[in-house]
Amino acid sequence: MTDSKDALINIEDIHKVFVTEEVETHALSGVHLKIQKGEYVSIAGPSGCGKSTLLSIMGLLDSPTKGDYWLNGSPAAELSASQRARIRNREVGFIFQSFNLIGDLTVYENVELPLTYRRMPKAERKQRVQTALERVAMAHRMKHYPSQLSGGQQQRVAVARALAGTPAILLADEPTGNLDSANGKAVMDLLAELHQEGATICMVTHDERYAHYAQRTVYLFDGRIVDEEQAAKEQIA
Amino acid sequence: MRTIWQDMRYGLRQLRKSPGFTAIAIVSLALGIGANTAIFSLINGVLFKSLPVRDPHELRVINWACFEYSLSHFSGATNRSKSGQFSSGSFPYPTYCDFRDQAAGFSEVFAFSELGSMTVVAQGMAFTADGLMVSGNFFDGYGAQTLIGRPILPRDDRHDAEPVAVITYRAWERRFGLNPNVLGQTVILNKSGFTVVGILPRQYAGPLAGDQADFYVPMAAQPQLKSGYPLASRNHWWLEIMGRLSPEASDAQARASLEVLFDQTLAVSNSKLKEPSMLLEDGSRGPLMQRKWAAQPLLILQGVVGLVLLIACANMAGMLLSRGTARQHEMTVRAAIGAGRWRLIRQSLVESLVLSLIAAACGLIMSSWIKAGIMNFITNSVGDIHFNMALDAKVLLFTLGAAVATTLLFGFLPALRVSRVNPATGLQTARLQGASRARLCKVLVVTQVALSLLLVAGTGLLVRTLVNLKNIDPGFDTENLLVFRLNAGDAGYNGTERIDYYESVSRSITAIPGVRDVAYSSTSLLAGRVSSSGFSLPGRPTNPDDDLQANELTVNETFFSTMGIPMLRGRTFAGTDTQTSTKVMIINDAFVHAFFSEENPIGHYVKTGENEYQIIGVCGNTKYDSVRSDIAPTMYHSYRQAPSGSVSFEVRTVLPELSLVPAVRKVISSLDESIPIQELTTQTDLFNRSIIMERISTTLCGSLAMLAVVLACIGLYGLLAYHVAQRTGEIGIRMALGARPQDVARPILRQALLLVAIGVAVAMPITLALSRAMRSVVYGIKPYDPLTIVCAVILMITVATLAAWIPARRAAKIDPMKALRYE
Ligand SMILES: Nc1ncnc2c1ncn2[C@@H]1O[C@H](COP(=O)(O)OP(=O)(O)O)[C@@H](O)[C@H]1O
Ligand SMILES: [Mg+2]
Repeated sequence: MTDSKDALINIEDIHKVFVTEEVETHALSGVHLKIQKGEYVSIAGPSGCGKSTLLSIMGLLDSPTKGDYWLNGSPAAELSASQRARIRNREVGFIFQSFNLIGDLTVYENVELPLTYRRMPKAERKQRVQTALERVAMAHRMKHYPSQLSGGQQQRVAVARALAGTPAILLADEPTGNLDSANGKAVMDLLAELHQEGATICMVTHDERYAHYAQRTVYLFDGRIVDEEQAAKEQIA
Repeated sequence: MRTIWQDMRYGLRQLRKSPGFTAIAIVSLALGIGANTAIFSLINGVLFKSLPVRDPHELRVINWACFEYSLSHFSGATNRSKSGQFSSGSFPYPTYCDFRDQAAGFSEVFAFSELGSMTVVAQGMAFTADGLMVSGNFFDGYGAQTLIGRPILPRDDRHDAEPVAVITYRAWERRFGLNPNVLGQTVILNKSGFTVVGILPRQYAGPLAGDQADFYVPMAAQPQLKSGYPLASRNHWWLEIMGRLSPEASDAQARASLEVLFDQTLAVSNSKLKEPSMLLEDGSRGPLMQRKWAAQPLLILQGVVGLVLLIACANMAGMLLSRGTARQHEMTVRAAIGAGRWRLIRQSLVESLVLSLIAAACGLIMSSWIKAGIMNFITNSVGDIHFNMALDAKVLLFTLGAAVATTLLFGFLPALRVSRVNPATGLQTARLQGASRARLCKVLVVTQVALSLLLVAGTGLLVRTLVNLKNIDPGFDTENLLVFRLNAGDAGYNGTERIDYYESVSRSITAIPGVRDVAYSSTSLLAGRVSSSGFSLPGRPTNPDDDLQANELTVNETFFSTMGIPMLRGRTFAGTDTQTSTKVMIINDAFVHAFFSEENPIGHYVKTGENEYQIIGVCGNTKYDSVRSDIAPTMYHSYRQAPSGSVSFEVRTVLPELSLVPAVRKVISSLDESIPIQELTTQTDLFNRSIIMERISTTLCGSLAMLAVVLACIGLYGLLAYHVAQRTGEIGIRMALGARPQDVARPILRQALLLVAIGVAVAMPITLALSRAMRSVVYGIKPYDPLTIVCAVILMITVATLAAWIPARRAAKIDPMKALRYE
């Protein structure tokens, strides 16, 4: 077993309780998870089992009610809001089910957005946006607005946005959920290629068809990890 | 009907659910509606309110009109129409008698004339009060009754009748302590006795706007109370005439009959009127001319507060828009379960109406405070003015109208927007509409900022003016100085008797513990009164064409030392400067500068009227009639050499000046109880009154400016809050991508500052133009006062930043998790 300090993501006995109008929801109840650099992990499970919650905690969008979390070797507990924002910006790339592009910004500006929150010279930003958009084959749609693109194209732009900042890990929450199967497959193929090129990916899906793209699948039920399986493909390789 | 009732109940519940929004909305609307209602009730009282008499619609004011006139003894106002026709309501008494006895179509023709201020002695107390002289049929024709006793009757209006008076409730309360035994008592009006026969009811109001008359006497009292206007003369024009039209008569008929009688009158008088005719004016509210004059400033004020209400509406629209976003979901659901568009609009409008009605109710209460405040302020500074300001149907209707109008103004657009939901796509379409309404809101906010800046800058100039005026050194010491007038002339004292009387008053008051010095003069300083006269300088080379003019004031020997006015040269007046000794004069420094330059004026002569005066002294400069007016060359006469009938006393005290009033009153009534103390006040009060217009306009303008700034801030706040509410999802995405709290807060503050900057830029040229236009109003500051403008801008920016702070903070506190969840 590798030391916890080496793992990119190290989650130990994490609990998450939501309290709304005197109803307590136990979204996560004691989750343990390690993800190494270069791994491709998928999280599967029925709706409402806590997948998104787990991913949000990994991406520092949310904090656990109880338990410890190390990202890239440093504890996430004592970070200020600004520090968390900084890590989200540099270490994490988010891909959402509903794309979450900003409608008032062009494709170029959307991809550039995370870079504008760093002190990065304009020329370098341009360079990176260019590269990222070429990587997802959307460079020709740079001046378009999201509403002028198809769902598959929008999701590719969202992937480019996640890539542009060269994050340590890509977090994707049901990236194919709003796409038809052809577009969904294209996005999954894109993620697989990125993984081939060395990216670390953690993806949530409840679509059995796509779970096998990952090296490792973690099954979540009622806030607990109930099963783990290594993909056959990986074992062959 | 039932569903509207339901909508209302639902609306109330919605308002209770967001108490912060509801409170802000109600307060800002209530202030707007309250201010408007207050000003409207003042206007209503002045312009629209019917006189509280029987069948006021039957009353007519009788005027004459002509294209040129030459009248030997005319007293009253004339009005000139655009066509060049003159008109007036002032008639000779015999003409009135002709009208009364012979005019067709009237059930009664009655007349009245103001007596102005009279000296009254009643129940052993002397005071001053205004009077109205009325024809014997006045009360019958006017349609007013007495509360107790009887009105003046035709039999009282004969030269051999016993003189009687009717008093108002006001006078009965204030002067007789509501004592019913006042009936049958004798009161002295300017030295003649009148028996009180009746008391008018509390709600009684006389025919003249701002009526101040408390004592009504018959025309027969003319020789005693209005001696310059003989009843028998057809050449003295002084009487106002009104008539009560018979129900069956027409105006044209009555007018024709009056014209015949008027021509007869003119034929036997020396007055010349070109193309004379008669005008009958609606008399249900009394003569119009005075009302128009009194309403003028109110109409301007109504315009300004109307503007403030508009700003309040713009704000409400902004706030409802922003609330509409928050409730878009609810509306989507309602639309999804089958509510039609009109149904959604109605629901929104009813909610707005509920808000407006509550605000109107609060506004009505506020308006009575605002009204009382304004009236108090005016009464304290200008004197008693009586208008019927009571709440009536018209005012209530106005308030209700204001509520409905504001509902439509601020509620309709948001209602339309809210109703335009698509149950299928919900938020998506809403966001596309957002851009246009945000632009609309921005324009509104910029306008509000610009207007507020204008008001703030204007107020700033007024405030600085007021401060400058308050800091003016009037050239004498205004502290601890009690001032009042005595009129020994009216009490029958002449020449040396007056001097003796005033000297004994001086001595007795000086003897009161706490009094340091006593002086008297023909008028008091800073009282708004000034007298001036032409003069010449015998033996000095002056251009005979020069029209030399200087102010003059008659004072006693102790005047300069009591007032603290320094003698710069020569001597002051002495008890030996009497009517039989050389006529002497003291001049002020300004006089020396203007007419003697470097030369010593002592010993030179000044000729005014028939007399030559030798200059015996030079005193320091003082302000005379008001603090604003420039110091003019002034000549001081000795009272012993020119004893006027009435004088102003100045009492310098070591104790607080008003604490000595009882002692002073006692001394004066013990010397001669028929001479009342008039215009008792303090010199500081006179000083303050002399800048009363500045104080009124600064206070009103300041309050409105404050209101406008608050409203503009609410508007800005509403816009930004709306912006933040609308972009919650986007802000969530940005935060997920690594925007720090300050990264999302800063653009919001920047936007606020940008809007304010645009508002300031728009307002700047207007502000500069305004400050130029205010040149005649400001005092002691340059036309473009940079300090005021910079302060106004800084104030605007500071307040706007504070207003933007809350939404900016809210944006910074957005939880990206939640924001994304709702996205
Ligand atoms: N912000 C929240 N407030 C209250 N309950 C929440 C919140 N977020 C998630 N939950 C609840 O936690 C549980 C897990 O949610 P989630 O992680 O979104 O599930 P999944 O992504 O697996 O469908 C669900 O029951 C959900 O209703
Ligand atoms: Mg989920």
